[in-house]
Amino acid sequence: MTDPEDRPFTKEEAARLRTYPAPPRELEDRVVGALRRETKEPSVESGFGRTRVIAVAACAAVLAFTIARWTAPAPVVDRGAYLLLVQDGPGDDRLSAEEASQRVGEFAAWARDLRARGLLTSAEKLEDGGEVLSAGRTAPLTDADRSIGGFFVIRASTPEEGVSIARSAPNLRHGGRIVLRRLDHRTR
Amino acid sequence: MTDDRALVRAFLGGDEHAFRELYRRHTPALYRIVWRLAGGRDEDAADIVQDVWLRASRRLDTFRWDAALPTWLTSIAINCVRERSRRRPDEAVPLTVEIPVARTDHRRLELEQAIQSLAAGYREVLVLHDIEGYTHDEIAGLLGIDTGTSKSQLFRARRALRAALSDARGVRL
Repeated sequence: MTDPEDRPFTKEEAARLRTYPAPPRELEDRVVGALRRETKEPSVESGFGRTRVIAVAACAAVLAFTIARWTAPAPVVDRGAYLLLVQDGPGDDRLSAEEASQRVGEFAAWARDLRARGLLTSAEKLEDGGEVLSAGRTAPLTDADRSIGGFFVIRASTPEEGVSIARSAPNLRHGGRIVLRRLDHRTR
Repeated sequence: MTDDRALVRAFLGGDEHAFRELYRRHTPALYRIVWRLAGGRDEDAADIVQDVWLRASRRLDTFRWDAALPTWLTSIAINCVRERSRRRPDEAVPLTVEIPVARTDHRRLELEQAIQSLAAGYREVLVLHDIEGYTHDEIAGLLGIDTGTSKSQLFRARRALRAALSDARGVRL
């Protein structure tokens, strides 16, 4: 007794499958309670508009870079260029205000140090929004896409130095990731 | 009935009642999908649905309404379920699913256990298409696959489900 459209169950059975299971009654208050707890952090907006720690940290890096650029000399050593994509760690979007502030400070200090050593070329923060484009389709960002909060371009004299610099990124201590890629200038 | 956009605007303005209306409107379908995709356990489904709403609330201000709100919520739910299963790769499919059924409702229990026996990819397409009524275009967007792949996965899912049902009954359908 199957559906003529070749379903293994009938339309009536499908309709019954849509009647259960019902969410437990207490789940509504539980979800509302969780949302209320998220809004209790004074410096963090609830839901939408929550500033990612890494994005804020990348912004701090940009600020450090901008302030330092007029005082530090440009690097004279010919070094390879590397892209560092900064990715959130698990739970980075649930930090307390104090934790978020600490992370921002760590990133800003790291960026200033890189600049002082002549290693930082640029740093940018990414906005939360965006989309994924493919042939004939536009899709929302996945969580993985969204976890990238910013990037740095650094200079290193060897690949080993590039790895060493990337491994010093403060987000790695908190479960985050750095995607390290060398810029290919051969096509220029 | 107030439309979803108006409720979302009100919620973004801090209206808890608007959120509760959104919750009540969309959670029944969300919960069903999550429950079936995440192994048929109430506790897991509740945890995931909570996570879905928290994530949705963080992104509602940037939601561009290029899809219906329930479709967008379902996309978040699928990501949550997949992340959970990656964190728990060794979790076995339950031998029995937790549904309160009358003793005579064997068909319902049979169907649910057969659905749970499907591989995750088959289960996703079958639940979304044959139970929840999503089109192949919508499923392709939700699962990050081509429309043609959705159709072929559904064909294989239905065949696997029929096999599971016939195994359960010991007869050939």
